[in-house]
This record gives sequence, structure tokens and C-alpha cells, in this order.
Amino acid sequence: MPNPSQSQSRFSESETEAYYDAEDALYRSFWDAEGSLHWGVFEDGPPAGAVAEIRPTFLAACARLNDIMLVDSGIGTDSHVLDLGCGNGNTTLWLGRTTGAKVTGIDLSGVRIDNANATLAGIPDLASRVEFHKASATDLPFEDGAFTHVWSQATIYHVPDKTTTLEEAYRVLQPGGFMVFDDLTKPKPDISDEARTYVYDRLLFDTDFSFFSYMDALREAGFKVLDARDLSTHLGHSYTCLSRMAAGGEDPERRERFAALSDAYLKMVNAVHNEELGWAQYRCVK
Amino acid sequence: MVSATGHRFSEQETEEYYDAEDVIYRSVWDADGSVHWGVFDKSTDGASIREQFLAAGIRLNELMVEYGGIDETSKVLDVGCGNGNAAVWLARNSGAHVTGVDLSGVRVANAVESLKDVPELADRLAFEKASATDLPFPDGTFTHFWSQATIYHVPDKVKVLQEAYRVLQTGGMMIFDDLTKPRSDISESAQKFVYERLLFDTDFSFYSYMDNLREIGFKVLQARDLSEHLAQSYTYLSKLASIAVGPEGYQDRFDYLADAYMKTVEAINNDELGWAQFLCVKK
Repeated sequence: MPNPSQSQSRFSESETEAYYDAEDALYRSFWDAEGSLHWGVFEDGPPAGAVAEIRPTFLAACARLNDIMLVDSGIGTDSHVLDLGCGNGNTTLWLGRTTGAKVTGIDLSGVRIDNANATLAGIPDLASRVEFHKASATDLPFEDGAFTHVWSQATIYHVPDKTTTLEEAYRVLQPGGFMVFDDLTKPKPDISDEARTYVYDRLLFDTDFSFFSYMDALREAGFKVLDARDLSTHLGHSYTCLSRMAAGGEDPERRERFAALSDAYLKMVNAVHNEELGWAQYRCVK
Repeated sequence: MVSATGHRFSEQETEEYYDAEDVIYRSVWDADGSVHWGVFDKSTDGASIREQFLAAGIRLNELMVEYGGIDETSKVLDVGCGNGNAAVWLARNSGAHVTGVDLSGVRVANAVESLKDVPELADRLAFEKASATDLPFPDGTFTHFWSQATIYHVPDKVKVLQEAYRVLQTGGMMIFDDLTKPRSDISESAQKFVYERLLFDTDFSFYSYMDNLREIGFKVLQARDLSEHLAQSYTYLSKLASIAVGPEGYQDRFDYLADAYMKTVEAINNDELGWAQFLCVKK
């Protein structure tokens, strides 16, 4: 487990970069073999049963999040989408394939951008419309108004300076452009030691945004909020699934890591239940 | 038009308005008597304006069922049920028990009359005349509070939200849409053709609505600013009013409505009128 920073509350971009550069193989082994690392939106409650039954339900829930974000986004063949925090590029490529849009993925982790480019090299028909760059969300290497859409999943909570991220997203959008994203939230400011250790420090993040104050921040950045969804219940369901999937990991060399993750994920479920951690999705327009 | 109670419009004025205007609206909006707005998507592109508008109204119903998680185990209160169309649709399509209330006795009578056409729903569909500010039900009666295009009419909106909270079970869901006022400075045109025409006023913006819901004890799970769909609805309604055919002497009213509806679209584009949908849970 990575060490928390001195401050116990703030983490630097270089720590996040090192974390995501290092951990890819571990997560692929139980989360999603293809390297996607998202949470899901469930039709019913969390699935019960063996890992073999849970995994497809979990991955279907993750696909459902993509569908929900896409359906009202207006992304089409004329769009140019920036995928902020694209990781291994799975959703970036899915967006390119599904919508016909031009899609640019950026991530702070050079390892994951290399993975994304390697995957892209195997899909020549997307080569003209999809590209990946290593870049920080707080200093985007794009001109004002370069995109019709900013898309981001499970990313902004990692960025220490969230306000600059929202301002950068606003800057690179055309007037009338949409920002569609999900992010972690902190429903209440007082956090137990357990949630601090197993949620905030483990994921190297902190946030001042609740479901509601996030909207204030978006409005201050200039956005008009069109959709806001509190998906916290689904985050709890996701980590219930992930805890069981991690516990079912079979690689003997990683048994201890899997056990520790499985335990940490149950702590995530507790934190969601205690309103120490939340998950929200927004759609807004410049 | 400020009433004696200090509100701009009284419940009695709203009651008279909806008792009187049914025929006009059936000619323009929906022959079956449904009077609410719709959520548009591309699935009905190419269909007639009327078909697209009615499909968008059904889509709003479907979204509310989906978001609210309404099924055959649910007990739903439909506040502002009007002629009962959505309540009948809801009982038929979700399998839920549905109770509809409305301030207009004429519309409740229409709704009760329509029950004859759906005998298969008789054991789980009921209508009665009641005010949203004084619901004739014990605490914790319902799993869902459902309301479409209603609360903006009620002078004491906070009281409606409190009543919704009261009649819901713990864990029960409130799913509704309502008009909002995005900004406080309203032009004369919007005042005349939107606020006075619809006998309403509101202090709630998309955002302050959430504050009020939270203050009452609700947890807001979802908020959607549907203003662009309201503008689309009124653009289509204006066209439908301009081609409406009704009883003799109604043509002037149709012409007036066609114009008023386009003024409504202007008000929406100027952020003088908005439309929002909320899903919240009683903790």
C-alpha cells in the first residue's frame, strides 16, 4: 500500500502518477482483465453468489455507467471529446468506436498512456480519430475551445487542485460544450480514523466537495449544471462486488495483497454507508 | 392579483382555472386530457409533432418510474393527478397501487369516470379531491410521492414538501417535476404570458429547490434541469395550438395560446422560467 503523504490529507500529482504507474497488473488480475477501473450503476442491489457470478454483473454495471453518461451527452460523429484521466484508454476507445467522435485521452500515468497507445496500435480503424497524451488535468496542452465535450470518470478526486481542473475543463470547451463526469465526494467533513486510513489515504485523495458543494464549484467555474446524480449507493454496491472479486484472486504470490484489498474494500462499503464517502455524476454546459 | 392571504395566487383561483379550462387543453395538448410536458429524444424523429409531443410525455413517465424504482410492490400518491391519465398509466405499466389527488373537482370527477374504462385496475387505483397542503392520509402511508407539473401552482410550496415527507414511509421516494425561476428579475412579457397566465409564482431556482428539499429532511439523489425540454414542449404546443380545432368561439383562445406558448419559449431561453425534476428519499 502506498504511503500517505506527510499532510495526511493532501497528495501530490507525482504520488498519484507513481501509484498508477505501479499498480496496473494487480488491478487487471481481479477488477477487469482489460484494464478498466470504474465503478458501476446497478439495476438491482449488489449481486450475491460466487465470484464467477458477481464479475459479469459488476462489469455490466460499469458498462451501464458509460451508457448513462453517453445517453444525454449529445456526443456524435461531429464531436471532439477530451477523456480526462483516460487510464488504459478502454473508455476512450469505446467512445470512439460507439459514437464515431474524435476522442483525445490524457492521463498523468505514463505507463497507462503507453498501454493505451499499444492497444490503439491494434485498432487501425480508430487511428485517425483517437489519440493519447500524457498530461496533467490542471495544465491541459490544448487551446481554448478545442473540444465539444469533456468526459471524465473516477479521476478528479485524485487531483489536489480540483478548482483548476474544472477551470481547465471550462477553458478547453467550446461555448455550449458539455462536461460529463463522475467523481468521489465527501458527504460530511468529519471523517473517522478508519475511513481516513482505508479510504482517503489508501486512494491518495481528499476533497472538499459534497454532492451539493460540487455544484457550487461548477457554477463558480462558469458551468450551468444540467444533471446531478448521487450514485453513492452504487459505489457501495461496487465495492461489495470488488471485495468479493479481490478475495477470489487466485495468484498465490499476491494472496496477501488480495486479502488486504478485499478488507479495504469492505471498509469502503462502510464509509459509504456512514456517509463518509460518496459518488456523484454531473452533466453541465459551458 | 395578490390574494388576501398574501400569496400572489390562491388555491381557489387554481381550482377554478382547472375546473374551467379542460376542453381547451384537450383540443391542443392531448385529446385524452393529459396536460404535462415531455422529455424529447431522437427516437421519434420524423414522426408528427403531436406524436413526438405525446411520446415525450410518456418518456417523462417512464423516466420517473425508472428513477423512482416503482414496481408492483409500490404504493404511490400522485399529487395533482388532473384527469388521472398518468395515474392510470402508472398503475397499468408499473403494477403499483396508485392514489391520485387533485384540487380540481372537475378533473377528479373525470378521473373517477375514466375508472369505468379500466375495470382491471379498479382494485389498485383511486382518486379523490384534496389539497396538496393538507393531504387526507396518515403519516407513512406511501412508498412513493409522485407529482408532475403541479407544485408550482401551490402558493405554500414548503407545506407541500412537508406533507410529501409526512405521508412517505422512511426510505420512501419523492419523484416529481416542477417549474423553477432561474433568475429573480422577470420581464413584463414573461410576467404576463407565463407567471400570470399560469397563476403562479415561485421562489425556487433549480438550486434553491434542493436546499428546501434538504431542509425538510429529504436526501436529494438526483436533480435534472429539463428547461431545454420545456422549451421544446412549448415550441410544439404553440404549433399544435395554431392548428387546433375546437368548439365554436374557441379560435381566439387557440390563437392566444399559440402566441403565449412562444412567449413561454422566449422566457425559458432568457432564464426567466425553468423546469426541473428531482428524486429524493426520506431518510
